[in-house]
Amino acid sequence: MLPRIKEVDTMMNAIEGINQIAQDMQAYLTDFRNTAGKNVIAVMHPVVPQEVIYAAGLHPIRLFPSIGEPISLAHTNLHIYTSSIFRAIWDQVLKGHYPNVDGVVLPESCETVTFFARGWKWHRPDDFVATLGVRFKKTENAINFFSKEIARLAKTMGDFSGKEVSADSLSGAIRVYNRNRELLRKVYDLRKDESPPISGVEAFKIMMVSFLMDKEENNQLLEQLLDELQNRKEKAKPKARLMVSGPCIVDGRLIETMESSGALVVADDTNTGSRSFWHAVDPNQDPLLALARGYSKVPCPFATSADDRFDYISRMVSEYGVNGVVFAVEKWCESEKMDFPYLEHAIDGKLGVPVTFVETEYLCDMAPIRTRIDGFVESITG
Amino acid sequence: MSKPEKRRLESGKAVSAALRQYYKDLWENRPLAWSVVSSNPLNDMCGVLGIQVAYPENYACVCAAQHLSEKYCTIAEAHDYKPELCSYIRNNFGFLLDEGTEHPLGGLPEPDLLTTVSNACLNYLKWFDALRLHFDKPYVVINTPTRMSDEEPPDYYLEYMVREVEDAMAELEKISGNKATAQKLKETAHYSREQAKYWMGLLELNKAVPAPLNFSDLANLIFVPTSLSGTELGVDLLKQAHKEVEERVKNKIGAIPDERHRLILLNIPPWYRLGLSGLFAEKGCVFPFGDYTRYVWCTQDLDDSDPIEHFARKALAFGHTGYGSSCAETLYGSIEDRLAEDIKAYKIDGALVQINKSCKIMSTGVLDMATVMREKFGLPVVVLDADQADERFYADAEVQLRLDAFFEMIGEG
Repeated sequence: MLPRIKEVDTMMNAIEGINQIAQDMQAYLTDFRNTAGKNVIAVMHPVVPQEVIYAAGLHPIRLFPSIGEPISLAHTNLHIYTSSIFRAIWDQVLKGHYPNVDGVVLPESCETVTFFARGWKWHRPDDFVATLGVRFKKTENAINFFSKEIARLAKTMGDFSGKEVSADSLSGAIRVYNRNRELLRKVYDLRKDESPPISGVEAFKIMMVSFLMDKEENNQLLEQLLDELQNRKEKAKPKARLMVSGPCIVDGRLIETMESSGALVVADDTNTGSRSFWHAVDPNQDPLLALARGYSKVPCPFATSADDRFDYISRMVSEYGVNGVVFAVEKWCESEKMDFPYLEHAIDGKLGVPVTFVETEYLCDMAPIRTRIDGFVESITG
Repeated sequence: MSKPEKRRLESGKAVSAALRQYYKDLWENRPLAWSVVSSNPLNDMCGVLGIQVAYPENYACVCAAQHLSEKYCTIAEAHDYKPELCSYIRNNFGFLLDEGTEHPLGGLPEPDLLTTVSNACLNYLKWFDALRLHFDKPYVVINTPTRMSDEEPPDYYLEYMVREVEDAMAELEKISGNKATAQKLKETAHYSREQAKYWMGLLELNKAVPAPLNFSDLANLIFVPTSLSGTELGVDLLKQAHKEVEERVKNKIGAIPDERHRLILLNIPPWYRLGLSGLFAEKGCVFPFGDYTRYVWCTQDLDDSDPIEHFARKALAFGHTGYGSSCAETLYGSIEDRLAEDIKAYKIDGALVQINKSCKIMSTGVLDMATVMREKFGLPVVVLDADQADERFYADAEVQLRLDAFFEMIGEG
């Protein structure tokens, strides 16, 4: 059994601990579930305020498929024009590969998730499947509606766990999660350096592990990591500084492939990266409204207009000294693809930063992607 | 085998004339909104304020029927609108980016504003957001919630929608410079309700044997409750069609001469192969029922005494009874009991199920529906893979093979 964070403290440095957990996430979860005695709720997409799950005494994690297993059973229910990431999740649900997950939250988000929520319940009526309405609009009416949806989710979670979500428990959860977002941002800030102390692959693992861990434990680990990174030996200046934009990047090989060109991924606009923690939740407001306001800023394309996404990306490009943006977009993710023509022209035209596009799927062949990225990096660096 | 006689509706001629006039009006009336069909109160609200509405979705169907979508989709793809995007969207951007000047029905004039709801399709929001950026015009949205479970929606859904309608009306008033009068609101809500009633009436009449309307008849008529929503003309056209169909039922006149099989059609048909219904007619197959004609529009009788609430309920009423408000309701929400009721009521004995590359929403769940129809209801089912507008994703030979096998199954080989 893998050591959990308390043992990590004494046995190894933070990055080693992160690597070890990332290597076998299932083992961490089994251990956590057994020792903490909490039920695990997996949520799809960064737009779900996990604070309400945490406040109900449950353990929220993000819902991803394990990498490398061909999709087979899911094709009986989901046609091939649906998100391959979600198809892989459904496939692994059918195969019983989520033994540590006690329930899921599916938000109104991409088409597949939104429209298969009922399908999930229809196929597996005994599964605990909660849903959450998410707004594209950001008006007061939309924020109020979203806060009521969050309240409904909190009630559902409280009913499931047997622990009512109170204003106090929610405020406590917001504090823990705000701290987590703050620490992850500090880790990301280190990548602004001319020679960043962490690679894109390491940042990816840090994120994936943070999606899995208990947030207080993760906060300790991130604090330790930040201490250690201060003393990390300087790395060589990268050949190019890339930003990656896309939905759920769950296969770390994609980042590895990008960095094998000599470039470094220094920033991202992905569901598995900055979109998950860039927002803050005001601890001084009514907690439900504060969550609605905070999470309405999560820049997932299904809930964000293209020009707001451009503002987000352009701030990041400027702060992180990005000199090339790679759109790595899942083949059937329409909201990402819908924004691409506008973003491509805006990033190239207004920021003068070159853009390239690679199409990804749950299982994708890295060789053509590598060729594309090598050529792109070559074109940037001359 | 000789081709079966085509029994077109006489009232269809008036609908065709209205369609031609409608496309002329687009060039003459301002302000002009581009909008979406669906169960969309914004179209009624635009009518209240004298805003003409054009529908790029309908126009994509027109282009597809004239075999021009392929051209427009290709143009859009050259501008990085990827082939996986809905073909209606690619058709729309291809039309906008086409340097040529010849377009079906003269094309669509540029809009003064964009409006959309999100009940039928999540992509509406992104598509019209992209159009907003393309034209740099105001964008009015009613952001309908999606009912993702069988639970009864809470009361705040209606409160939220009423406010959405009020906010949208205020925006439309500002853009148009016109004010919504109580009288006009009342009239429009009434016409909207009447149209839904006549539409439901037509669907009800189609339970008769032989079915008075085939899928293609309903697909032509659907122009009325969508594009002429909330108008007196729309009510008159549907009333006329309803009367004619009643006569057909009374006199046992079917949409096809020799009806032997009654099939369900699931999904949006390939508009560039509308001749498919003729192929089925040759084998004695009629389509009295389909999810596209039954569930995709407002098919509920919604009280119109308070026009704003009527519009709010209409935005939520996409689908069946109660708050449907999304295709989610029409798929798994209808997979067992409702499907059983419909199969019984429409005396269905087979199904054509389409996987539509463009409409992931209408396609999510159809595989399970096909399984249920086959295994639980014992129906012969054929599953086709066909895009709604992009002909490049339609293989005649493959479709023919599957249909041959299907006709064999139902004894029409």
